[in-house]
Amino acid sequence: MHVLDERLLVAQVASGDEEALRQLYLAYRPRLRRYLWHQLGGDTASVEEALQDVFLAVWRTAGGYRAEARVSTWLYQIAHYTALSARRRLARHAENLQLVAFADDDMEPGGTNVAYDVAYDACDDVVLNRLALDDALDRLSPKHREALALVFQHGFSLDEAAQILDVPAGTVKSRLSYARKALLRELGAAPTEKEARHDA
Amino acid sequence: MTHDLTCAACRELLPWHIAGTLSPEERAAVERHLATCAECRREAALWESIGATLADKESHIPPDTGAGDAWLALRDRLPRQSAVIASENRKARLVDFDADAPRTTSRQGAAPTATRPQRQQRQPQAPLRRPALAIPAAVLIIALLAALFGFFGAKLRHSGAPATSPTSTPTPTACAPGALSATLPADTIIQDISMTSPRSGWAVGWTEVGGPQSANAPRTLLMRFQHCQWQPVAGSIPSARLMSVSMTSATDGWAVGASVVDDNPSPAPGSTHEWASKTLFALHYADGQWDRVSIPAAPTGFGAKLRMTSSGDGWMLIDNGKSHTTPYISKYAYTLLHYQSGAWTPVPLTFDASGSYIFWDIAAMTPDDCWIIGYGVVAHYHQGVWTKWSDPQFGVTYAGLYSITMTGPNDVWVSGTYSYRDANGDETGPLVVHYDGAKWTRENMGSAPGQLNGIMSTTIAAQSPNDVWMFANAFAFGGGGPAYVAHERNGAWTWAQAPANLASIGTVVFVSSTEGFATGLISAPTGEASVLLHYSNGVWSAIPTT
Repeated sequence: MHVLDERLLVAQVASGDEEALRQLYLAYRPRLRRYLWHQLGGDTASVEEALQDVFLAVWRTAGGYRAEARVSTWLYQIAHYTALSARRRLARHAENLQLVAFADDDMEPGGTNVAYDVAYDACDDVVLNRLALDDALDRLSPKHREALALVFQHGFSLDEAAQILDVPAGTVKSRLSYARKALLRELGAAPTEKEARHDA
Repeated sequence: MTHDLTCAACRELLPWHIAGTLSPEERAAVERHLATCAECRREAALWESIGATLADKESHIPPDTGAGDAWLALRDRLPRQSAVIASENRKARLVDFDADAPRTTSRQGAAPTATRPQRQQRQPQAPLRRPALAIPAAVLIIALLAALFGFFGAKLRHSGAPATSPTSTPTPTACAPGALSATLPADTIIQDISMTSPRSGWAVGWTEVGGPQSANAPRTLLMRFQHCQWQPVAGSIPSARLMSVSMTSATDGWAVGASVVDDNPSPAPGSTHEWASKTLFALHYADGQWDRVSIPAAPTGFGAKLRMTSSGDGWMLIDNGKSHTTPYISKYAYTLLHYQSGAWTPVPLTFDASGSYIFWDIAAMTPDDCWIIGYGVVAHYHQGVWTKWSDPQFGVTYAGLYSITMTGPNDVWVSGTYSYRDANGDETGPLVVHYDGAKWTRENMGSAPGQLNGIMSTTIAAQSPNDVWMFANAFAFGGGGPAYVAHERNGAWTWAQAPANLASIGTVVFVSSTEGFATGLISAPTGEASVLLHYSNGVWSAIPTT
């Protein structure tokens, strides 16, 4: 959809135009459904409910949409908060452990925010082991998965991702950095192991 | 532009380079660097794998076949514009409080009549300082506690209760410390507590044999405190929970609960039973027994909080459980009921014209007067008129307010969290604000122990106007974190870690200036378990269970 058309649609939604909401809904549902899918652990019912809540919020708050942000950024912002609240609700139930954030990852002791200092000379092995990577991605905490999803799967720039997540750009970068380190850790790619492999 | 990228700069751009979303200039700069740097090429290959694996995952999402039906379902839920306009018209009665403007009088000009307690001057909030050394320890604590993966349960909604002062009858002496005990049935969740004297009170909640996801429906639980013992009373209601209790005396009180239905009666592998609150009911205590009372004004409810001021006046704040998953909560998602002349009737939440909030707590002390708080809002209702305050008045950009307590109309305390950003990203810190009848002041909380970033909720209760306790339930997403206790005495706050193993605290009630009770959760090997706490002589401790 053309950018200008999207903004027009939102303006129409703000004036109570249901048809405009329907067009916006149909245009964004596929993307937002994929985005929410991973955020909510693949629970169809939760995803559908969250999608409804996103567009109910759009309906109510379209009048407050500031045209400085892209419509997509604005919609994903709403989806981000929707997923966050839904996860909090779901997290009351112990079964949804995959949605549990294990720690305040940004606060690694002694770590800097953007530290690409973990060498991973065994990267070649890591890169080829896509199955393990798939597994490791599942074990990332939701906020790191989310950062990766926004960049890789939904095509947002650094600033847009920061807007959606309502964090500074530096935090987006540090979350990507942490995700990278966590993945490498999961895949066992540590410098010392590389040395051992050389000796073998 | 021929400026060459450093490795660090290149690596920062790599995710977007792989995603294909860099500007042409950035893309060219990255490619130039990659052409000459093997390490960064390896880095790019890693991101490429990550990107490809993520793309693979997308293909595993089932195709979307429900778009048409989903739209129809959504369309049916859209609030109609006419309803919005009607409520806008009621805005005429809204009073927006401006600290600098003379206060608009209410209908009867009924200014609070209680004298203002003497207070020390509040200092402006100093920025919170986090001791650097404490950070690693706090991370360890949080990680360890998260590893227990106990679940917060319905405690997530918990907040404090207003201080109850002793009744006008002579105050019984406190129980001897060693005489206290509690008999807690297995799999108990205690949700709320209300004391009528240091020696009598009630607590409510439910039992859920096998946990909340089991096939067993929860049953209500009523606990009575007498003879220095907490004991469950006989006669529980099946398929129901009790959520809140508020006693007005030893012979009168109310509790509110909800009947539950299993939303997932035949769980597929990987899913569980879902006991969801549906219809609200009230219990009225009179003549020595609890009788069930229906609430026609608000049949459905996800959660509810009760605050009675007397046997003839009280409030019930109900979460309708609708449209409840975004911060843009419509005021239609909550119902406020006022008990007056023997009936519960709705009071429209007209204090907000356009936005919407999540509400967490309610306080009331005098007739036809209540306070409601939530994310970014404090609203005060007095005889038909609402006054509202929000973040700017509290001096923060985002106030997550969870708990309110008051000792009088000119001594109101609200606690919660506030968000701020530092070099490490977004943080939440403890927030306490105080209202003296004219203005709000933000408390200087001093230095909290360890890292108090990531507070889930707080509970506040006042022993007396100059003696206030705040409990912070720290962050461990999906599980109980360490609880911290802050104590204000005559203007100064001190911090301590809560009693051992206390994962979180729910309701706190003071029965005198030296004694109190609370509900909480402790960390146990099997997860989290309910606990009743007792305060006396400056110390909070768990009441031993039999």
